[in-house]
Amino acid sequence: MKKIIVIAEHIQGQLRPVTRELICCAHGIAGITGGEIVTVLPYGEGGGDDHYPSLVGQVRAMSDTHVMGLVIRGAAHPDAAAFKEHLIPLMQELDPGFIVAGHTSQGLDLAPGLAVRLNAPCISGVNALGESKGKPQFVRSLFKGKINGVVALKEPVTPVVLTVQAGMFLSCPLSHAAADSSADMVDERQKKMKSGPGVCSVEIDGKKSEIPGKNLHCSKKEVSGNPQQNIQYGKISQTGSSKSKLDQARVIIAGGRGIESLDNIEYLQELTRFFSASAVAGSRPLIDMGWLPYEQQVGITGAVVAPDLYMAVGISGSSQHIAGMAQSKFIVSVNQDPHAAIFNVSDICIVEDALNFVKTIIFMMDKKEGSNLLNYT
Amino acid sequence: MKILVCIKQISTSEIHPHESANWIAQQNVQDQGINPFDEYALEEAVLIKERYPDVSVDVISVGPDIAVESIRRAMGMGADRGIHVVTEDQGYVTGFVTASRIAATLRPRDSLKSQNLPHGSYDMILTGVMSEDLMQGQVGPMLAEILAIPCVTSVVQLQCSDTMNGVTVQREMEGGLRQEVRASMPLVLTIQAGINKPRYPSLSNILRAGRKKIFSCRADELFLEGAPDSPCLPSHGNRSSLHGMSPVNSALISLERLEYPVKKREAQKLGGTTEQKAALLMDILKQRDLI
Repeated sequence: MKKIIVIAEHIQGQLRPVTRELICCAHGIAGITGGEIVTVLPYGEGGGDDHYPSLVGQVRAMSDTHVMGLVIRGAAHPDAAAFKEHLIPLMQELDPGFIVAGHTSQGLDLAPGLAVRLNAPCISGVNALGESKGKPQFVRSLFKGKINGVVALKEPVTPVVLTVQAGMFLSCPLSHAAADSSADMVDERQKKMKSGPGVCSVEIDGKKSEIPGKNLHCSKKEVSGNPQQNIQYGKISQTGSSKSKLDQARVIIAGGRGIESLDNIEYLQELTRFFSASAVAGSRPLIDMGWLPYEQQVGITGAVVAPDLYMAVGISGSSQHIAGMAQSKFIVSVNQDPHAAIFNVSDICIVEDALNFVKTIIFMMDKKEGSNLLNYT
Repeated sequence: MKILVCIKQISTSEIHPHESANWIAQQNVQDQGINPFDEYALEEAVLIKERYPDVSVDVISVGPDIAVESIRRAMGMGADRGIHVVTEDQGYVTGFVTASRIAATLRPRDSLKSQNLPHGSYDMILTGVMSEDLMQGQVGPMLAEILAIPCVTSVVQLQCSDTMNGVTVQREMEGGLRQEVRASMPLVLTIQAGINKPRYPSLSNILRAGRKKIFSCRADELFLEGAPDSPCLPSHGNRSSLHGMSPVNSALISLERLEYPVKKREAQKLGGTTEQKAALLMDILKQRDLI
C-alpha cells in the first residue's frame, strides 16, 4: 500500500485551513486504498522569520499524520518553482500512490507541473470521493459547479496528483493511525552533505538531515532538458484593508450578476434596512466590474464569511464563491436558473428573477412595517 | 515580441447532461463563446500590442470545427493570426492532452510543412486560469512544463520589463493577498479575471478578421506513429519521458458519468407566485429570529 502525500499550505506563519481538508481527503482515500499519510510541509526559508517550528506544531495539532518538512534555503515563500523542483526527487523517493494538494492558488501553481514531471495523471478540483469495486472515484465540479463529473483511473498507475477544492472535505473520518516508524528513512539520509545556500534540508519527525539541492537563487540552469528557473518570487502584499465589515455582519445580502447593473446595488442596500447588523456583499464578477469594492467580495479570494443569514441574490454559485460562504448558518438563494450551483448549498431555494424578487420583498416588507405602524396609532 | 494566446470555446447557454449521462447535450454554435478567463488573457495580449512596438499576437484553439468562430472573434479583438487544432474529441479532455497538442504545434514538423503552420518560439504564452466548463486549471502550467519554461498562475497584474525580455506580475492568493513575481521570457502566464475589461471586437476588426486565413491542422496529425519528430520532451530525472508525454497518458483518466451535485442542505424550494414566495420567506425568517 503506497503512501498518500499531503502538500500542506501556509502563509505568513499560519497553516491554511485547507491543509486540514487535504488531510481529511487523504484519510478518505486511505479508507479505500490503505496507505500511510505523510504531510509534507514545503517551507521557503528565505523569508527571514522562522515560522517553521510553529508550523510543524500546527500540523501536529491538526492531525496525527507523519510530518515531513521540506525546508528550502534561500527560497521565498511560497516559491512554487522551488517547491516543485524539490518535491520531484522527494516524491520519486517516497513513491506515493497519491499526492494531494489544494485546488488553490498554491496548488494551481504547483500541482499540474508536478504531475507532468512525475508522469502522473492530474485530477483537479476534487470535491468528493466515491468508490467502485474497491477503487477510488473522484468527483469534480464542471460547468461552473452546476454538474459533477465522476472520474476514475482506468489503470492503477501511481502516483496520481489530485487538487482538492477548498471547503468540501470538512468532516474527517477517524484518524488513520501511523503505521511504521520512519527511523529507516532518516538513516538512509544520513550522508555527509555540504551546507550552505541552496541546500535542501529534509526533516522527518523532528530529525533533520540535509540532501544536496540546487542553487535556488534564480540562476539560469542550462542543464539540457531541465526547465529554466528564470523566476523570482517576491514580496507579498495585502489588497485593501484586511479587516472587513463583513466580519461583523450578522446578516449578509450578497449580489451576483443576476442583479444586472450597478444601479441595482441600491436594492441590496434597501434590503439590509430590515436586518440589524447587516451588510451588502458581492460575488467576484461584481468586484471585477467595479460595482463594489474589494472589501465586499465574498469568495475564496475575498472574504470567507459565516453570518447567521446569507442571502445570495442572482449568484450562480461558482465553487470559488461557495467556498467563501458555505459555512453560513442559514442560506437563502434567489436565482432564475433552477440548476444554479448555489442551490446545492442553500437552505431555502427561490427560483425567481433575482432583481424582481428583491423589489417584491422590499415592497412587502415596507407594507408590513407601514401596517405595523398603523396598529400603534 | 511574439505572444500566443490559448483560448477555448465553451458553452455559454444553459447546459444539461445528455440522457446517457456521458456528456452534455449537443450545443449550437450560437450557444458557444470564448471562455471568459481566456478573454481576459486575449485582452491583456492586445493591450501589450497596443502599448509596445513590434508585438504580434497569435491565438490558438484546440477544439472541434465550430471552434473556428471563437478564433475569428479573437482575431476581431485584435489577434493577428489564428491557429486551429481541429479535434473531434467531445467532452472530457484532460489538460495534459490539450497542452501536448498545443506544444506539438509549436514544433517544426515535416508532416505539417505543407500547411505552413506558424510555429516556433513565442516570448509569452497566455491562457486563462481555467476553463469554466472543465475547471481544471491545467493547460497553462502543463504547457509550460512540456516546453520547459517558467509559469506563473493567477496573474492579476502584468508589466513588461523595459528591455522586453521579462515581466513583473502580481499573482493572486487567497485572503486578499498578492505576490509579486518576476520572470524572464519565454514564459507562460495564466490570467485571472478582473485584470482588465475585455473589449468588444470593433466592426472593422471583425470584417478584417473575416478575410484572414486561419491556419489549421488536425490533432491526430500531430502525434503520428513512428514520426521521426514526435514530440520528445525533455527527460526529467530518472524517468523516461517519451511514454509519459504522449497523449495516451490522458486515457488513464476516464469520466464515469455526470451527475447533479447532491444538495448539502435542506434545499427547501419555495412555491407559488413571486409575492407568495416573498411572504413565505418573511415568515421563515421571522420564525428563525433573523428578521
